[in-house]
Amino acid sequence: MTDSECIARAREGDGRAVRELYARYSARVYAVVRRLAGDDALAEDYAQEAWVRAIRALPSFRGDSAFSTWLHRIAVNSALHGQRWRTRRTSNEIPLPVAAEASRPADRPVLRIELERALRRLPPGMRQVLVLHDVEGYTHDEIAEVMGITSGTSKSQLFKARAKMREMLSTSERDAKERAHVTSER
Amino acid sequence: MSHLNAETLARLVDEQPDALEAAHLAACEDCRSQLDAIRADVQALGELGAIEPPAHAWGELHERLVAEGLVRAAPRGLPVWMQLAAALALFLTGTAAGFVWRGATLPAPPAVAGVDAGDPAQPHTAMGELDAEPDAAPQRASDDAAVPAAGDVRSAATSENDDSSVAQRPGDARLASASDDARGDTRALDAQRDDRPPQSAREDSDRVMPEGEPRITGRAPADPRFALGSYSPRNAQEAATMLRDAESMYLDALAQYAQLSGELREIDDPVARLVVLESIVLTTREALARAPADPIINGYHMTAVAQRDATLRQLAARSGEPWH
Repeated sequence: MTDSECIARAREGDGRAVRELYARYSARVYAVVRRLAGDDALAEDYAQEAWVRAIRALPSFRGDSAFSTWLHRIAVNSALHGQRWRTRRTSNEIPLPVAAEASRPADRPVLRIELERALRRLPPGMRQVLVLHDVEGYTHDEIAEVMGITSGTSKSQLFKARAKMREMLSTSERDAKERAHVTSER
Repeated sequence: MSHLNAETLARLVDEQPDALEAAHLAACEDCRSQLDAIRADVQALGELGAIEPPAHAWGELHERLVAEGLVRAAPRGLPVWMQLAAALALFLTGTAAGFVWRGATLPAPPAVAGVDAGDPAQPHTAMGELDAEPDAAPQRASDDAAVPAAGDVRSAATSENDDSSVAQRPGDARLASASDDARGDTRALDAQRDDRPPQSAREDSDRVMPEGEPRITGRAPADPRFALGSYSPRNAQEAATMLRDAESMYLDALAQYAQLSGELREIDDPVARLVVLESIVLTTREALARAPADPIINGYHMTAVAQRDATLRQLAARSGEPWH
């Protein structure tokens, strides 16, 4: 079944067609919302919200862009909206210190794990800009639009985020080298 | 001479340096190296892949969609063999693709597919991520019993004799004959498997893919008749033919999976193994969504999850950190 066929059937309430779309795109939706949220439980909520919004809005999907692009944008909006709503409710929350977690070697094989971990430790605003720009490939203008900020703010947040990421990864690398040195001396 | 600050270096990943910055970079090895590191970070971020949602997420979403009147409950239209075949075909395609796409080097196919026989009475898989009907899990066990303790990397599928190897699910070797007997009755298949004494790997593999029989080599299960919901037989004869073909496809898929699993064990690099196992987990999970009561796919899924987790623990053990 092509995407178009799935979409046509899903519009009619065909559960199998919806399931098929979910099978094709759920991993991408989940990835972006999880990285934007920095939290698994929140990510599940945001992903579900994104899918419900998308299925609800299917009748208005005209196919001007690819379904995946359309869905991705809904997912990003759901996550950002959820984060904004949550931030308003928890505005007094104290962010976790960046260097609080133990580190691990940032050798290439575990770089992906390191990056995901570092992403979660970034402050929300920086993380969202970094994910949208460096992971998802959004331009600063697009980020400005979806996040309701200026393009300049997006750039500034991105550079801060990259700098913080590097700091965290450098700490991990340094710790790994020290650990390796200690191990080799034993 | 003061160094360029980190945010400036982060900007220079996207923008050209001005004259002063360029002059500094030309003279300062530390800053150049720092800039290279940030560039590498950015490149790695761009290569981060998709993340599979938890297995229970679809069920919860489906409930909500039904509750909101956005979807109807799906009718069970296809005969069980066709559902199973479609599910396995999907799962197998993804599994095979995982080997190729992720850059793992496949060794030449073995003369006989390697399938170890585990102890049928010995549970060795995790159920934590399984989204299946309760009676569909012939080897359900507590997580404690199923998953090796954190830090115990012996079970991380790196050992040739490891009980948690993907291919050594008890009953694998009975798949062909058991499936013939079961005719879609998965409970009957469970009963057969449970009663079966342990067998040697070679005995099992011989029964799955006897010498002299054609090998299955990357069959693309693209028969449009088995695309779910896309085709209905026009008469009883066509339905019978579809049923037979679906059954054959199912058995072929199982045999091919057994072969792939044998090859998986030859990947020594734990990261490469992790990538392949992750791919298998995703595809078995997807297959389970199509045929949640199928004990064979359940078994493969459970084993792949256990192996993936064990490999993660193995990687984490290298750095002395918790794996989760």
